[in-house]
Amino acid sequence: MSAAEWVVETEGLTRRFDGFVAVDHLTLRVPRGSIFGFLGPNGSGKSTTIRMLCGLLKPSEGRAVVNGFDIERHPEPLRQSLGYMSQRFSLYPDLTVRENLEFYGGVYDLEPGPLAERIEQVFDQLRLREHGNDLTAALPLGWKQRVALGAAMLHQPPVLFLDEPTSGVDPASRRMFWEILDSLAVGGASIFVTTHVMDEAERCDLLGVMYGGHLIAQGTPAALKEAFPGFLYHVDAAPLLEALEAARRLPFVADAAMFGDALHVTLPADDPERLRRELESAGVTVRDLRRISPTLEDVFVQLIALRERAAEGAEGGGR
Amino acid sequence: MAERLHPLSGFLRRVRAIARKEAIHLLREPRTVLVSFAQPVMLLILYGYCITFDLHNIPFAVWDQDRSEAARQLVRPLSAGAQSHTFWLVGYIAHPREIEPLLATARARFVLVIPRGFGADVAAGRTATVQALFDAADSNTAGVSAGYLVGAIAAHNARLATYAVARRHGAHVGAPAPAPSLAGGDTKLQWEPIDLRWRVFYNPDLASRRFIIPGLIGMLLTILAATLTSTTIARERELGSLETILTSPVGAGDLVIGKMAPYVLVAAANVVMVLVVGGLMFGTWARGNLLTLASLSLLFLLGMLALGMLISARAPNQQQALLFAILATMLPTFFLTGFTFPRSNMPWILQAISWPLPATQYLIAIRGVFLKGIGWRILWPQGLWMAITTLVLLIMATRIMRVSLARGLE
Ligand SMILES: Nc1ncnc2c1ncn2[C@@H]1O[C@H](COP(=O)(O)OP(=O)(O)OP(=O)(O)O)[C@@H](O)[C@H]1O
Ligand SMILES: [Mg+2]
Repeated sequence: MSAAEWVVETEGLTRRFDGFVAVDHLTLRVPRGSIFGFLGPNGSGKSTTIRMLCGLLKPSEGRAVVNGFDIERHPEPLRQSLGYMSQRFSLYPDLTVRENLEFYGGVYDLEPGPLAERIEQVFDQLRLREHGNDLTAALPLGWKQRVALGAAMLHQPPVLFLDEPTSGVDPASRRMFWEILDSLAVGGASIFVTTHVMDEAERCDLLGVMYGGHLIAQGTPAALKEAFPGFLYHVDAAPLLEALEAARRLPFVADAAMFGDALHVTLPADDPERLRRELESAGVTVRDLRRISPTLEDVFVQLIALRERAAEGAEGGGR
Repeated sequence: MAERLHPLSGFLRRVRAIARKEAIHLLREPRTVLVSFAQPVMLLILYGYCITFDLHNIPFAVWDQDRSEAARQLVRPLSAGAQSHTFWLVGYIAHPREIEPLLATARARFVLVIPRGFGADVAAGRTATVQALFDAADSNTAGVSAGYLVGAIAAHNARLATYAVARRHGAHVGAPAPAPSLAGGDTKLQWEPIDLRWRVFYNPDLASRRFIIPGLIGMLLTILAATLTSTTIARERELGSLETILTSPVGAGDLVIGKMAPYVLVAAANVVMVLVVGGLMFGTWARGNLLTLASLSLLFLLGMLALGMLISARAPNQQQALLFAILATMLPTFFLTGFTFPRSNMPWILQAISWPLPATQYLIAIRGVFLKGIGWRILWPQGLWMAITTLVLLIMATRIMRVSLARGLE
């Protein structure tokens, strides 16, 4: 396929920190014009990957091409074509919202006239105008994150890397944030975004799941749910904790996890009656047991659980 | 995407954005600027009023073991009542036991010991020795007193020599010439055959305060400029903004120039303030052309700001940056450039090392303008050297910055 179709393309991308492998031979392709959701538990290497793709960290091994530019060989054109919002808030707290945007506009070579117009556009789009002349330090987190997004998108980059842009943000701001991302993607931008929130993952065109520096799953939200191995049951039982423990002890249960005030139990075969029998014989009252289709959260939790069990097994076998 | 016109206009826009942002930081956090103004004022007061490099009425005692006319002739010009008020004879002692309490209580800064046989040696034309015991607790005062004393004795030697020469030629000279003034009065010494070098070292024809103001400007610019810019990159790193800047097209040159720009104004304002406050407090105004002063200062200033940027590019955090900037500027300025210790008194190796320091050249230049009123016609070598060092420092700062930026967050 031609490079134009992939906005991010990595091959064996690896990053080590003093022997510790944070990103391990990552091979990834992100189609242009999509919202790519990068998932994974804490420390799985999401930020490290993004930092390499933005030219902030040198890969220890492998290569990556972003927007057609090799990250190591063509760092300069790469910089013009990306907008980056780091996981840590990094605007100047002692500057007003407008001054922050003016700074980033100037730094990206925008001329004063077009820059002023562009700032007005961004103010409208992110609904920042009413706080435009406030010091950034004084804003609530949701607003700060919107300003940071504004700074990253000011020069209309074809690629946006957003590292947990909505962490700590209230649901209303979060929703607005995603509406903006949708409109940017409709406008042709490619968005590479990390999140821990499954509602947000649901809104992505494509997902990649990281674990221990590896990409362990990839696909559209629908495809990932489709690929869910086994059969998932919603179990309403009492007492809940005992039910969870009993389910986990059963040899034919692939996975069991707490989900709100119920359990989600995965079986390799569609045999709910056996599950009900075994749970009741363990002294648990089963009030409701029905098959459900998996949510992304189920998919994610199971993917991680399988990996963790595999890792534990490998450790145990080694002993 | 952004329209791009000319590479230079892009550079200027980025520099302008950085300089503007940096200026806003300074305005919103005026403490940095205020401290930068408070320090020189404190230094001015300290140096102007408390520490004088001139000494008057240095108390001393004499232990005259010889009790000869020659000994009295040596002491007479030193004691108060003579034209000079440099020394003040507190009294004669008769026993070595008295020396220590005198020095310990600072009733005397030194004790002059004239050994038995001094008069006979002088009369016979042999080298006569005198000994001076100093209280060196205040080493600065001791050093200056020693310098004056060496000078006074040299003057005395000169009189003796002239007297001897005159006598050998058969002329009748009734008595040694009167004691020359130690603080000036060079007319009386014009015919003296012996070169009184000490007068150059301690610059007795100048009041120290006059001498101090230009030196203070030099020291200020060096330390102030370098420390102001030295923490700037570490601050961005600690704030997290460096990470965002690193993903933008900002280059090393943009950062170096843009970040230096507002500090040029701060440092220039400092120079003006020292000139004005120094003038008002001590009545010492620059003799030379202010434009010459400004242009030489600017050349030097840019170099020191660049030095700060260079340190900034390498320093892992703000504290280390500051510490390093102070060490790199304060120590050499203080000890090598001639601010406190005259360069001509230094061992040749230190003179050689200190010559190329821009601060050394700046001090020469600014003292020339300030005290002697000389201009570019004479000071061009200093100006040229500062231009060269400033350029080199700017290039080095940009290079090192480029390497640091290319390393990203590592
Ligand atoms: N500069 C560094 N030096 C050493 N180790 C690092 C460095 N940066 C990251 N790591 C380690 O690499 C691993 C991956 O970190 P990374 O920040 O990429 O995870 P993440 O997926 O973004 O996690 P989170 O969801 O918490 O943001 C972690 O174990 C982290 O401690
Ligand atoms: Mg992260």
